[in-house]
Amino acid sequence: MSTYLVRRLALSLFVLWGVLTLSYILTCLAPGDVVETLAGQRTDEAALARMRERLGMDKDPVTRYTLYMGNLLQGEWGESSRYREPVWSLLIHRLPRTALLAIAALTFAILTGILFGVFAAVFRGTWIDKALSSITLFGISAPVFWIGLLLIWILSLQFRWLPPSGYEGGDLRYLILPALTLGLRSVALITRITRAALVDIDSSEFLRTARAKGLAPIAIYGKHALKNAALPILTVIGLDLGSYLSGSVLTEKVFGWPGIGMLTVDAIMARDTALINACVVFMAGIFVLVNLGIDLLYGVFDPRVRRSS
Amino acid sequence: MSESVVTSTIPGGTSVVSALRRDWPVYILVLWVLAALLIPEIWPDSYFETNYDAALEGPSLRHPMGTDPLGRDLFVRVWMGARISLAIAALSRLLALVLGTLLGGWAGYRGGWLDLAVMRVVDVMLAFPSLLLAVALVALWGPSLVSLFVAIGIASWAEIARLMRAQVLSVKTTEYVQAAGALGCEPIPLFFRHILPNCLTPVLVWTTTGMAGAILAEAGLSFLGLGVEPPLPSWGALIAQGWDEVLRAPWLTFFPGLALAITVILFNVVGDRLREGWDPLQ
Repeated sequence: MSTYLVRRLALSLFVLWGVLTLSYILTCLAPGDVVETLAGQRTDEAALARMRERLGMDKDPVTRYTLYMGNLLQGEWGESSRYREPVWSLLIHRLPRTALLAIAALTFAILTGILFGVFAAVFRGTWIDKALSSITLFGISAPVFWIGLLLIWILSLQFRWLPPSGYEGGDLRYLILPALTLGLRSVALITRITRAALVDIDSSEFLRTARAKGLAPIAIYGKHALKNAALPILTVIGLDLGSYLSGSVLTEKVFGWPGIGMLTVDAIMARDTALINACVVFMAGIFVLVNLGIDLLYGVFDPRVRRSS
Repeated sequence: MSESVVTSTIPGGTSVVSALRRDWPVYILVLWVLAALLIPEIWPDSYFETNYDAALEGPSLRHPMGTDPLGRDLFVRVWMGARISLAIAALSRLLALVLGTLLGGWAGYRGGWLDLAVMRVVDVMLAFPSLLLAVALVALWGPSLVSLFVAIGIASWAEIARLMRAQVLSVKTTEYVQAAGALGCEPIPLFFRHILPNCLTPVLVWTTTGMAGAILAEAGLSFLGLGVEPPLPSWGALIAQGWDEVLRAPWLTFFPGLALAITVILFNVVGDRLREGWDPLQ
Protein backbone atom coordinates (compact mmCIF):
# COMPACT_ATOMS: atom_id res chain seq x y z
CA MET A 1 0.00 0.00 0.00
CA SER A 2 2.70 2.50 0.98
CA THR A 3 4.80 2.12 -2.22
CA TYR A 4 1.61 2.49 -4.20
CA LEU A 5 0.77 5.63 -2.25
CA VAL A 6 4.23 7.10 -2.82
CA ARG A 7 3.99 6.44 -6.56
CA ARG A 8 0.53 7.98 -6.75
CA LEU A 9 1.72 11.07 -4.86
CA ALA A 10 4.76 11.45 -7.13
CA LEU A 11 2.57 11.18 -10.22
CA SER A 12 0.17 13.79 -8.78
CA LEU A 13 3.02 16.22 -8.17
CA PHE A 14 4.30 15.62 -11.70
CA VAL A 15 0.85 16.30 -13.15
CA LEU A 16 0.58 19.57 -11.22
CA TRP A 17 3.99 20.64 -12.48
CA GLY A 18 2.93 19.77 -16.03
CA VAL A 19 -0.31 21.75 -15.75
CA LEU A 20 1.61 24.73 -14.42
CA THR A 21 4.17 24.56 -17.22
CA LEU A 22 1.50 24.24 -19.90
CA SER A 23 -0.35 27.20 -18.42
CA TYR A 24 2.91 29.18 -18.30
CA ILE A 25 3.69 28.43 -21.94
CA LEU A 26 0.18 29.48 -22.97
CA THR A 27 0.42 32.81 -21.18
CA CYS A 28 3.86 33.44 -22.72
CA LEU A 29 2.53 32.80 -26.22
CA ALA A 30 -0.05 35.57 -25.95
CA PRO A 31 0.63 38.14 -28.69
CA GLY A 32 1.43 41.77 -27.88
CA ASP A 33 3.43 43.27 -25.06
CA VAL A 34 1.90 42.62 -21.66
CA VAL A 35 3.75 45.54 -20.11
CA GLU A 36 2.47 48.04 -22.69
CA THR A 37 -1.07 46.75 -22.22
CA LEU A 38 -0.70 47.21 -18.48
CA ALA A 39 0.90 50.64 -18.58
CA GLY A 40 -1.50 52.13 -21.06
CA GLN A 41 -0.68 54.03 -24.25
CA ARG A 42 0.86 57.27 -23.04
CA THR A 43 3.77 55.91 -21.01
CA ASP A 44 7.31 56.94 -21.92
CA GLU A 45 10.06 54.45 -22.70
CA ALA A 46 11.89 54.90 -19.37
CA ALA A 47 8.78 54.11 -17.35
CA LEU A 48 8.12 51.07 -19.55
CA ALA A 49 11.68 49.84 -19.00
CA ARG A 50 11.36 50.30 -15.23
CA MET A 51 8.12 48.38 -15.24
CA ARG A 52 9.63 45.63 -17.40
CA GLU A 53 12.46 45.27 -14.92
CA ARG A 54 10.12 45.26 -11.93
CA LEU A 55 7.99 42.49 -13.51
CA GLY A 56 11.09 40.64 -14.75
CA MET A 57 9.91 40.95 -18.35
CA ASP A 58 13.34 42.10 -19.59
CA LYS A 59 14.73 38.56 -19.39
CA ASP A 60 14.28 35.71 -21.86
CA PRO A 61 11.39 33.22 -21.36
CA VAL A 62 13.52 30.34 -20.06
CA THR A 63 15.15 32.48 -17.35
CA ARG A 64 11.73 33.87 -16.42
CA TYR A 65 10.36 30.34 -16.18
CA THR A 66 13.20 29.24 -13.88
CA LEU A 67 12.77 32.33 -11.71
CA TYR A 68 9.01 31.80 -11.59
CA MET A 69 9.39 28.17 -10.55
CA GLY A 70 11.96 29.14 -7.92
CA ASN A 71 9.57 31.70 -6.49
CA LEU A 72 6.73 29.19 -6.44
CA LEU A 73 8.82 26.71 -4.49
CA GLN A 74 9.37 29.44 -1.89
CA GLY A 75 5.63 29.99 -1.69
CA GLU A 76 5.81 33.21 -3.72
CA TRP A 77 2.98 33.06 -6.27
CA GLY A 78 3.30 36.58 -7.57
CA GLU A 79 0.92 39.48 -7.81
CA SER A 80 -2.15 39.91 -9.98
CA SER A 81 -1.45 42.65 -12.50
CA ARG A 82 -5.12 43.61 -12.56
CA TYR A 83 -6.00 43.69 -8.86
CA ARG A 84 -2.47 44.57 -7.63
CA GLU A 85 -2.85 42.01 -4.89
CA PRO A 86 -1.01 38.75 -4.15
CA VAL A 87 -2.79 36.01 -6.15
CA TRP A 88 -3.00 33.80 -3.08
CA SER A 89 -5.07 36.29 -1.14
CA LEU A 90 -7.40 36.64 -4.14
CA LEU A 91 -7.80 32.87 -4.35
CA ILE A 92 -8.30 32.44 -0.60
CA HIS A 93 -10.88 35.22 -0.67
CA ARG A 94 -12.86 33.56 -3.48
CA LEU A 95 -12.40 29.95 -2.36
CA PRO A 96 -15.15 29.77 0.31
CA ARG A 97 -17.71 30.97 -2.24
CA THR A 98 -16.86 28.35 -4.87
CA ALA A 99 -16.52 25.70 -2.17
CA LEU A 100 -19.96 26.60 -0.80
CA LEU A 101 -21.46 26.34 -4.28
CA ALA A 102 -19.68 23.07 -5.09
CA ILE A 103 -20.56 21.42 -1.77
CA ALA A 104 -24.21 22.45 -2.04
CA ALA A 105 -24.38 21.18 -5.64
CA LEU A 106 -22.58 17.94 -4.81
CA THR A 107 -24.79 17.22 -1.79
CA PHE A 108 -27.90 17.83 -3.88
CA ALA A 109 -26.49 15.65 -6.69
CA ILE A 110 -25.48 12.70 -4.51
CA LEU A 111 -28.69 12.60 -2.45
CA THR A 112 -31.05 13.04 -5.40
CA GLY A 113 -28.99 10.92 -7.78
CA ILE A 114 -28.79 7.90 -5.48
CA LEU A 115 -32.45 8.21 -4.56
CA PHE A 116 -33.50 8.37 -8.23
CA GLY A 117 -31.12 5.53 -9.11
CA VAL A 118 -32.57 3.26 -6.40
CA PHE A 119 -36.10 4.12 -7.55
CA ALA A 120 -35.23 3.38 -11.18
CA ALA A 121 -33.69 0.03 -10.21
CA VAL A 122 -36.53 -1.02 -7.90
CA PHE A 123 -39.20 -0.09 -10.46
CA ARG A 124 -37.17 -1.36 -13.40
CA GLY A 125 -39.11 -1.46 -16.68
CA THR A 126 -42.09 0.50 -15.33
CA TRP A 127 -43.09 4.02 -16.31
CA ILE A 128 -41.14 5.40 -13.31
CA ASP A 129 -37.93 3.92 -14.73
CA LYS A 130 -38.69 5.26 -18.20
CA ALA A 131 -39.56 8.74 -16.93
CA LEU A 132 -36.35 8.86 -14.88
CA SER A 133 -34.24 7.76 -17.84
CA SER A 134 -35.76 10.50 -20.03
CA ILE A 135 -35.09 13.09 -17.34
CA THR A 136 -31.48 11.97 -16.93
CA LEU A 137 -30.93 12.01 -20.70
CA PHE A 138 -32.14 15.61 -20.74
CA GLY A 139 -29.99 16.41 -17.70
CA ILE A 140 -26.73 15.28 -19.31
CA SER A 141 -27.61 16.84 -22.69
CA ALA A 142 -28.94 20.32 -21.93
CA PRO A 143 -26.24 22.97 -21.49
CA VAL A 144 -25.65 24.07 -17.89
CA PHE A 145 -25.97 27.78 -18.59
CA TRP A 146 -29.27 27.39 -20.47
CA ILE A 147 -30.81 25.40 -17.61
CA GLY A 148 -29.62 28.15 -15.26
CA LEU A 149 -31.23 30.87 -17.38
CA LEU A 150 -34.51 28.89 -17.60
CA LEU A 151 -34.53 28.46 -13.81
CA ILE A 152 -34.00 32.20 -13.35
CA TRP A 153 -36.76 32.96 -15.85
CA ILE A 154 -39.29 30.63 -14.21
CA LEU A 155 -38.49 30.90 -10.49
CA SER A 156 -37.19 34.48 -10.27
CA LEU A 157 -38.78 36.47 -13.06
CA GLN A 158 -42.19 34.74 -13.32
CA PHE A 159 -42.90 33.55 -9.77
CA ARG A 160 -40.48 35.86 -7.92
CA TRP A 161 -39.66 33.14 -5.38
CA LEU A 162 -35.88 33.48 -5.46
CA PRO A 163 -33.43 36.25 -6.31
CA PRO A 164 -32.14 35.94 -9.92
CA SER A 165 -28.44 36.47 -9.33
CA GLY A 166 -25.79 37.87 -7.01
CA TYR A 167 -23.97 36.74 -3.93
CA GLU A 168 -24.98 39.08 -1.08
CA GLY A 169 -22.51 37.84 1.52
CA GLY A 170 -23.54 34.20 1.34
CA ASP A 171 -27.29 34.67 1.83
CA LEU A 172 -28.58 31.12 1.27
CA ARG A 173 -31.49 32.21 -0.91
CA TYR A 174 -28.91 33.26 -3.49
CA LEU A 175 -27.29 29.82 -3.32
CA ILE A 176 -30.31 27.67 -4.26
CA LEU A 177 -30.54 28.32 -8.01
CA PRO A 178 -26.80 28.09 -8.83
CA ALA A 179 -26.46 24.91 -6.75
CA LEU A 180 -29.44 23.29 -8.52
CA THR A 181 -28.01 24.30 -11.89
CA LEU A 182 -24.51 23.06 -11.21
CA GLY A 183 -25.71 19.81 -9.62
CA LEU A 184 -28.23 18.83 -12.28
CA ARG A 185 -25.79 17.13 -14.64
CA SER A 186 -24.31 15.11 -11.78
CA VAL A 187 -27.79 14.09 -10.63
CA ALA A 188 -28.32 12.58 -14.07
CA LEU A 189 -24.95 10.81 -14.14
CA ILE A 190 -25.27 9.45 -10.59
CA THR A 191 -28.84 8.24 -11.26
CA ARG A 192 -27.66 6.34 -14.33
CA ILE A 193 -24.65 4.71 -12.72
CA THR A 194 -26.55 3.84 -9.51
CA ARG A 195 -29.28 2.14 -11.52
CA ALA A 196 -26.75 0.28 -13.66
CA ALA A 197 -24.70 -0.86 -10.67
CA LEU A 198 -27.79 -2.04 -8.77
CA VAL A 199 -29.13 -3.94 -11.78
CA ASP A 200 -25.67 -5.46 -12.23
CA ILE A 201 -25.51 -7.07 -8.81
CA ASP A 202 -29.21 -7.96 -8.82
CA SER A 203 -28.65 -11.65 -9.47
CA SER A 204 -25.95 -12.09 -6.81
CA GLU A 205 -26.43 -14.59 -4.04
CA PHE A 206 -26.43 -12.21 -1.10
CA LEU A 207 -29.37 -10.35 -2.64
CA ARG A 208 -31.21 -13.66 -3.13
CA THR A 209 -30.62 -14.37 0.55
CA ALA A 210 -31.89 -10.93 1.51
CA ARG A 211 -35.01 -11.52 -0.56
CA ALA A 212 -35.47 -14.99 0.88
CA LYS A 213 -35.35 -13.46 4.38
CA GLY A 214 -38.36 -11.41 3.27
CA LEU A 215 -36.76 -7.97 3.44
CA ALA A 216 -38.65 -5.12 1.78
CA PRO A 217 -37.26 -3.99 -1.62
CA ILE A 218 -36.24 -0.62 -0.20
CA ALA A 219 -34.22 -2.31 2.56
CA ILE A 220 -32.63 -4.72 0.10
CA TYR A 221 -31.56 -2.01 -2.29
CA GLY A 222 -30.99 0.79 0.18
CA LYS A 223 -28.87 -1.21 2.58
CA HIS A 224 -27.35 -4.32 1.05
CA ALA A 225 -27.09 -3.57 -2.64
CA LEU A 226 -26.11 0.07 -2.39
CA LYS A 227 -23.01 -0.68 -0.33
CA ASN A 228 -21.75 -2.94 -3.09
CA ALA A 229 -22.60 -0.38 -5.75
CA ALA A 230 -20.49 2.28 -4.02
CA LEU A 231 -17.36 1.82 -6.14
CA PRO A 232 -18.77 2.69 -9.57
CA ILE A 233 -20.74 5.58 -8.06
CA LEU A 234 -17.59 6.99 -6.45
CA THR A 235 -15.69 6.61 -9.71
CA VAL A 236 -18.30 8.56 -11.64
CA ILE A 237 -18.32 11.37 -9.06
CA GLY A 238 -14.53 11.62 -9.35
CA LEU A 239 -14.46 11.55 -13.14
CA ASP A 240 -17.25 14.10 -13.30
CA LEU A 241 -15.38 16.58 -11.16
CA GLY A 242 -13.55 17.92 -14.19
CA SER A 243 -16.81 18.90 -15.82
CA TYR A 244 -17.86 20.27 -12.44
CA LEU A 245 -15.01 22.77 -12.50
CA SER A 246 -15.86 23.77 -16.07
CA GLY A 247 -19.53 23.93 -15.14
CA SER A 248 -18.75 26.22 -12.24
CA VAL A 249 -17.20 28.70 -14.68
CA LEU A 250 -20.45 28.93 -16.66
CA THR A 251 -22.73 28.71 -13.61
CA GLU A 252 -20.86 31.47 -11.82
CA LYS A 253 -21.07 33.59 -14.96
CA VAL A 254 -24.86 33.09 -15.29
CA PHE A 255 -25.61 33.80 -11.63
CA GLY A 256 -23.01 36.51 -11.08
CA TRP A 257 -21.50 34.34 -8.33
CA PRO A 258 -18.02 35.82 -7.71
CA GLY A 259 -16.09 32.58 -7.24
CA ILE A 260 -12.93 31.07 -8.67
CA GLY A 261 -14.50 30.18 -12.02
CA MET A 262 -15.38 33.82 -12.72
CA LEU A 263 -11.97 34.92 -11.42
CA THR A 264 -10.21 32.59 -13.87
CA VAL A 265 -12.18 33.61 -16.95
CA ASP A 266 -11.73 37.30 -16.11
CA ALA A 267 -8.00 36.67 -15.60
CA ILE A 268 -7.71 34.98 -19.01
CA MET A 269 -9.54 37.84 -20.73
CA ALA A 270 -7.35 40.44 -18.94
CA ARG A 271 -4.12 38.41 -19.55
CA ASP A 272 -3.39 38.45 -15.86
CA THR A 273 -0.56 35.91 -16.12
CA ALA A 274 0.20 35.18 -12.47
CA LEU A 275 -3.47 34.90 -11.65
CA ILE A 276 -4.22 32.58 -14.61
CA ASN A 277 -1.44 30.20 -13.59
CA ALA A 278 -2.49 30.17 -9.96
CA CYS A 279 -6.18 29.56 -10.79
CA VAL A 280 -5.45 26.78 -13.28
CA VAL A 281 -3.07 25.00 -10.94
CA PHE A 282 -5.55 25.40 -8.12
CA MET A 283 -8.34 23.76 -10.14
CA ALA A 284 -6.07 20.99 -11.40
CA GLY A 285 -4.92 20.48 -7.80
CA ILE A 286 -8.50 19.95 -6.64
CA PHE A 287 -9.07 17.51 -9.50
CA VAL A 288 -5.92 15.53 -8.65
CA LEU A 289 -6.62 15.54 -4.90
CA VAL A 290 -10.19 14.32 -5.29
CA ASN A 291 -9.15 11.50 -7.59
CA LEU A 292 -6.41 10.54 -5.15
CA GLY A 293 -8.93 10.57 -2.32
CA ILE A 294 -11.33 8.40 -4.30
CA ASP A 295 -8.58 5.88 -5.01
CA LEU A 296 -7.97 5.65 -1.27
CA LEU A 297 -11.71 5.38 -0.54
CA TYR A 298 -11.85 2.28 -2.75
CA GLY A 299 -9.97 0.52 0.01
CA VAL A 300 -12.49 1.67 2.62
CA PHE A 301 -15.48 0.41 0.64
CA ASP A 302 -13.92 -2.75 -0.74
CA PRO A 303 -11.68 -4.80 1.59
CA ARG A 304 -10.38 -6.78 -1.42
CA VAL A 305 -8.65 -3.65 -2.76
CA ARG A 306 -7.01 -3.10 0.64
CA ARG A 307 -5.64 -6.63 0.84
CA SER A 308 -4.45 -6.98 -2.73
CA SER A 309 -2.37 -3.82 -2.68
CA MET B 1 -45.79 -14.81 -27.52
CA SER B 2 -47.38 -16.42 -30.59
CA GLU B 3 -47.70 -13.01 -32.19
CA SER B 4 -43.98 -12.31 -31.96
CA VAL B 5 -43.20 -15.70 -33.49
CA VAL B 6 -45.54 -14.97 -36.42
CA THR B 7 -44.17 -11.49 -37.14
CA SER B 8 -40.57 -12.61 -36.95
CA THR B 9 -41.13 -15.32 -39.54
CA ILE B 10 -42.51 -12.91 -42.15
CA PRO B 11 -39.54 -11.78 -44.22
CA GLY B 12 -39.02 -8.30 -45.64
CA GLY B 13 -41.55 -5.84 -44.26
CA THR B 14 -41.11 -6.46 -40.55
CA SER B 15 -37.35 -6.13 -40.69
CA VAL B 16 -37.80 -2.59 -42.00
CA VAL B 17 -40.20 -1.85 -39.16
CA SER B 18 -37.90 -3.34 -36.53
CA ALA B 19 -34.89 -1.59 -38.01
CA LEU B 20 -36.81 1.70 -37.94
CA ARG B 21 -37.83 1.05 -34.36
CA ARG B 22 -34.27 0.22 -33.40
CA ASP B 23 -32.40 2.89 -35.33
CA TRP B 24 -34.80 5.86 -35.28
CA PRO B 25 -32.32 8.18 -33.49
CA VAL B 26 -29.84 7.71 -36.34
CA TYR B 27 -32.44 8.67 -38.97
CA ILE B 28 -33.60 11.71 -36.99
CA LEU B 29 -29.99 12.78 -36.57
CA VAL B 30 -29.41 12.50 -40.34
CA LEU B 31 -32.56 14.56 -40.98
CA TRP B 32 -31.38 17.08 -38.40
CA VAL B 33 -28.01 17.53 -40.12
CA LEU B 34 -29.73 17.80 -43.53
CA ALA B 35 -32.01 20.50 -42.09
CA ALA B 36 -28.97 22.43 -40.87
CA LEU B 37 -27.55 22.28 -44.39
CA LEU B 38 -30.77 23.09 -46.28
CA ILE B 39 -32.91 25.44 -44.18
CA PRO B 40 -30.52 28.45 -44.26
CA GLU B 41 -30.46 28.07 -48.08
CA ILE B 42 -34.19 27.80 -48.80
CA TRP B 43 -35.69 29.93 -46.02
CA PRO B 44 -37.07 33.27 -47.33
CA ASP B 45 -35.20 35.32 -44.70
CA SER B 46 -31.43 35.55 -44.47
CA TYR B 47 -29.62 35.14 -41.16
CA PHE B 48 -27.91 38.55 -41.29
CA GLU B 49 -30.27 41.07 -42.94
CA THR B 50 -31.88 43.38 -40.39
CA ASN B 51 -35.46 44.68 -40.54
CA TYR B 52 -36.25 47.15 -37.77
CA ASP B 53 -39.98 47.16 -38.62
CA ALA B 54 -40.19 43.53 -37.47
CA ALA B 55 -38.09 43.72 -34.28
CA LEU B 56 -38.91 41.47 -31.31
CA GLU B 57 -41.98 39.81 -32.82
CA GLY B 58 -43.31 36.74 -31.03
CA PRO B 59 -43.42 33.30 -32.65
CA SER B 60 -45.80 33.20 -35.64
CA LEU B 61 -46.27 31.23 -38.86
CA ARG B 62 -44.05 33.69 -40.69
CA HIS B 63 -41.36 33.62 -37.97
CA PRO B 64 -41.72 30.27 -36.12
CA MET B 65 -39.30 31.32 -33.38
CA GLY B 66 -39.96 35.06 -33.46
CA THR B 67 -37.49 37.81 -34.36
CA ASP B 68 -34.55 39.39 -32.52
CA PRO B 69 -34.04 43.09 -31.58
CA LEU B 70 -32.69 43.76 -35.09
CA GLY B 71 -35.73 42.13 -36.71
CA ARG B 72 -33.81 39.08 -37.92
CA ASP B 73 -35.74 35.81 -38.13
CA LEU B 74 -34.62 33.59 -35.21
CA PHE B 75 -35.61 30.35 -36.99
CA VAL B 76 -33.08 30.76 -39.78
CA ARG B 77 -30.48 32.03 -37.32
CA VAL B 78 -30.92 28.93 -35.13
CA TRP B 79 -30.46 26.62 -38.13
CA MET B 80 -27.48 28.61 -39.36
CA GLY B 81 -26.12 28.29 -35.82
CA ALA B 82 -26.72 24.52 -36.07
CA ARG B 83 -24.57 24.41 -39.17
CA ILE B 84 -21.73 26.30 -37.46
CA SER B 85 -21.92 24.40 -34.18
CA LEU B 86 -22.04 21.02 -35.95
CA ALA B 87 -19.13 21.97 -38.21
CA ILE B 88 -16.95 23.12 -35.30
CA ALA B 89 -17.85 20.07 -33.21
CA ALA B 90 -17.21 17.60 -36.07
CA LEU B 91 -13.89 19.20 -37.07
CA SER B 92 -12.73 19.28 -33.45
CA ARG B 93 -13.55 15.58 -33.07
CA LEU B 94 -11.67 14.83 -36.27
CA LEU B 95 -8.62 16.69 -34.95
CA ALA B 96 -8.87 14.90 -31.59
CA LEU B 97 -9.19 11.58 -33.44
CA VAL B 98 -6.09 12.17 -35.56
CA LEU B 99 -3.98 13.47 -32.64
CA GLY B 100 -5.19 10.82 -30.22
CA THR B 101 -4.86 7.90 -32.64
CA LEU B 102 -1.38 8.81 -33.84
CA LEU B 103 0.11 9.83 -30.48
CA GLY B 104 -1.59 7.17 -28.35
CA GLY B 105 -1.21 4.46 -30.97
CA TRP B 106 2.43 5.14 -31.75
CA ALA B 107 3.25 5.39 -28.02
CA GLY B 108 1.62 2.03 -27.34
CA TYR B 109 3.29 0.46 -30.36
CA ARG B 110 6.85 1.62 -29.70
CA GLY B 111 6.65 1.47 -25.89
CA GLY B 112 9.65 2.50 -23.80
CA TRP B 113 10.44 6.13 -22.99
CA LEU B 114 8.20 7.42 -25.81
CA ASP B 115 5.20 5.64 -24.29
CA LEU B 116 6.10 6.98 -20.86
CA ALA B 117 6.45 10.56 -22.13
CA VAL B 118 3.23 10.59 -24.16
CA MET B 119 1.21 9.05 -21.35
CA ARG B 120 2.47 11.61 -18.82
CA VAL B 121 1.42 14.38 -21.23
CA VAL B 122 -1.99 12.65 -21.41
CA ASP B 123 -2.18 12.68 -17.59
CA VAL B 124 -1.46 16.43 -17.58
CA MET B 125 -4.04 17.12 -20.30
CA LEU B 126 -6.70 15.17 -18.43
CA ALA B 127 -6.07 17.16 -15.23
CA PHE B 128 -6.10 20.52 -17.05
CA PRO B 129 -9.64 21.97 -16.88
CA SER B 130 -10.66 21.48 -20.53
CA LEU B 131 -13.06 24.42 -20.87
CA LEU B 132 -10.41 26.76 -19.45
CA LEU B 133 -7.80 25.38 -21.85
CA ALA B 134 -10.15 26.05 -24.75
CA VAL B 135 -10.95 29.53 -23.41
CA ALA B 136 -7.24 30.31 -23.10
CA LEU B 137 -6.45 29.06 -26.62
CA VAL B 138 -9.32 30.95 -28.25
CA ALA B 139 -8.39 34.10 -26.30
CA LEU B 140 -4.84 33.59 -27.58
CA TRP B 141 -5.71 33.16 -31.27
CA GLY B 142 -8.79 35.38 -31.42
CA PRO B 143 -12.24 33.90 -31.98
CA SER B 144 -12.76 32.33 -35.41
CA LEU B 145 -14.14 29.07 -36.74
CA VAL B 146 -10.65 27.61 -37.08
CA SER B 147 -9.37 28.64 -33.65
CA LEU B 148 -12.57 27.30 -32.03
CA PHE B 149 -12.32 23.82 -33.52
CA VAL B 150 -8.56 23.60 -33.01
CA ALA B 151 -8.92 24.69 -29.37
CA ILE B 152 -11.71 22.20 -28.63
CA GLY B 153 -9.81 19.44 -30.45
CA ILE B 154 -6.61 20.10 -28.52
CA ALA B 155 -8.53 20.17 -25.24
CA SER B 156 -10.01 16.71 -25.87
CA TRP B 157 -7.53 14.40 -27.65
CA ALA B 158 -6.09 12.88 -24.45
CA GLU B 159 -8.98 10.48 -23.79
CA ILE B 160 -8.75 9.10 -27.32
CA ALA B 161 -4.98 8.68 -26.97
CA ARG B 162 -5.43 6.68 -23.79
CA LEU B 163 -8.07 4.42 -25.36
CA MET B 164 -6.04 3.97 -28.55
CA ARG B 165 -2.94 3.01 -26.59
CA ALA B 166 -4.85 0.34 -24.66
CA GLN B 167 -6.17 -1.05 -27.96
CA VAL B 168 -2.73 -1.14 -29.54
CA LEU B 169 -1.26 -2.91 -26.50
CA SER B 170 -3.73 -5.75 -26.94
CA VAL B 171 -3.61 -5.92 -30.75
CA LYS B 172 0.21 -5.84 -30.73
CA THR B 173 0.37 -9.31 -29.19
CA THR B 174 -1.96 -11.00 -31.70
CA GLU B 175 -0.57 -13.67 -33.98
CA TYR B 176 -1.20 -11.86 -37.24
CA VAL B 177 0.86 -8.88 -36.08
CA GLN B 178 3.63 -11.18 -34.87
CA ALA B 179 3.50 -12.97 -38.21
CA ALA B 180 3.69 -9.74 -40.21
CA GLY B 181 6.71 -8.69 -38.13
CA ALA B 182 8.36 -12.07 -38.61
CA LEU B 183 7.84 -11.80 -42.40
CA GLY B 184 9.91 -8.62 -42.34
CA CYS B 185 7.21 -5.93 -42.40
CA GLU B 186 8.76 -2.54 -41.53
CA PRO B 187 7.46 -0.85 -38.30
CA ILE B 188 5.64 2.02 -40.01
CA PRO B 189 3.70 -0.04 -42.59
CA LEU B 190 3.06 -2.64 -39.88
CA PHE B 191 1.53 0.02 -37.66
CA PHE B 192 -0.61 1.69 -40.33
CA ARG B 193 -1.63 -1.41 -42.29
CA HIS B 194 -2.04 -4.10 -39.64
CA ILE B 195 -2.43 -2.53 -36.20
CA LEU B 196 -4.30 0.73 -36.77
CA PRO B 197 -7.30 -0.68 -38.71
CA ASN B 198 -7.86 -3.32 -36.03
CA CYS B 199 -7.90 -0.75 -33.22
CA LEU B 200 -10.24 1.74 -34.79
CA THR B 201 -13.75 0.49 -33.95
CA PRO B 202 -13.88 1.50 -30.25
CA VAL B 203 -11.91 4.66 -31.00
CA LEU B 204 -14.38 5.72 -33.68
CA VAL B 205 -17.30 4.96 -31.36
CA TRP B 206 -15.70 7.07 -28.65
CA THR B 207 -15.10 9.89 -31.13
CA THR B 208 -18.79 9.91 -32.08
CA THR B 209 -19.88 9.83 -28.44
CA GLY B 210 -17.71 12.87 -27.85
CA MET B 211 -19.68 14.94 -30.37
CA ALA B 212 -22.14 15.78 -27.58
CA GLY B 213 -19.36 17.17 -25.41
CA ALA B 214 -17.81 19.09 -28.32
CA ILE B 215 -21.14 20.76 -29.14
CA LEU B 216 -21.56 21.74 -25.47
CA ALA B 217 -17.99 23.07 -25.36
CA GLU B 218 -18.57 25.24 -28.42
CA ALA B 219 -21.81 26.52 -26.90
CA GLY B 220 -20.05 27.33 -23.62
CA LEU B 221 -17.27 29.22 -25.39
CA SER B 222 -19.65 31.26 -27.54
CA PHE B 223 -21.81 31.94 -24.48
CA LEU B 224 -18.72 33.45 -22.84
CA GLY B 225 -18.29 35.69 -25.90
CA LEU B 226 -15.61 33.58 -27.60
CA GLY B 227 -17.73 32.28 -30.48
CA VAL B 228 -17.55 32.99 -34.22
CA GLU B 229 -17.71 36.66 -35.20
CA PRO B 230 -21.18 38.21 -35.61
CA PRO B 231 -23.35 38.36 -37.65
CA LEU B 232 -22.64 34.62 -37.93
CA PRO B 233 -24.84 33.04 -35.27
CA SER B 234 -23.89 30.23 -32.89
CA TRP B 235 -26.15 28.69 -30.29
CA GLY B 236 -24.28 29.89 -27.22
CA ALA B 237 -24.09 33.44 -28.54
CA LEU B 238 -27.78 33.38 -29.52
CA ILE B 239 -28.71 32.35 -25.96
CA ALA B 240 -26.50 35.08 -24.48
CA GLN B 241 -27.92 37.75 -26.81
CA GLY B 242 -31.48 36.50 -26.23
CA TRP B 243 -31.02 36.81 -22.47
CA ASP B 244 -30.51 40.58 -22.82
CA GLU B 245 -34.14 40.79 -23.96
CA VAL B 246 -35.57 38.14 -21.64
CA LEU B 247 -38.23 40.38 -20.13
CA ARG B 248 -39.67 41.40 -23.51
CA ALA B 249 -38.84 38.30 -25.57
CA PRO B 250 -38.12 35.13 -23.53
CA TRP B 251 -38.40 32.98 -26.69
CA LEU B 252 -35.04 34.35 -27.84
CA THR B 253 -33.41 32.49 -24.95
CA PHE B 254 -35.65 29.44 -25.12
CA PHE B 255 -35.48 28.25 -28.75
CA PRO B 256 -31.70 28.25 -29.35
CA GLY B 257 -31.20 26.30 -26.11
CA LEU B 258 -33.91 23.84 -27.09
CA ALA B 259 -32.26 23.23 -30.48
CA LEU B 260 -28.95 22.74 -28.70
CA ALA B 261 -30.44 20.32 -26.14
CA ILE B 262 -32.22 18.25 -28.84
CA THR B 263 -29.02 17.97 -30.89
CA VAL B 264 -26.98 16.85 -27.90
CA ILE B 265 -29.71 14.36 -26.90
CA LEU B 266 -29.63 12.86 -30.41
CA PHE B 267 -25.85 12.47 -30.32
CA ASN B 268 -26.00 10.96 -26.83
CA VAL B 269 -28.66 8.41 -27.85
CA VAL B 270 -26.83 7.44 -31.04
CA GLY B 271 -23.55 7.26 -29.12
CA ASP B 272 -25.12 4.93 -26.53
CA ARG B 273 -26.42 2.67 -29.31
CA LEU B 274 -23.00 2.53 -30.94
CA ARG B 275 -21.36 1.73 -27.63
CA GLU B 276 -23.82 -1.09 -26.92
CA GLY B 277 -23.04 -2.55 -30.33
CA TRP B 278 -19.32 -2.43 -29.69
CA ASP B 279 -19.03 -3.37 -26.03
CA PRO B 280 -19.70 -7.11 -25.63
CA LEU B 281 -20.16 -6.67 -21.87
CA GLN B 282 -23.45 -4.83 -22.28
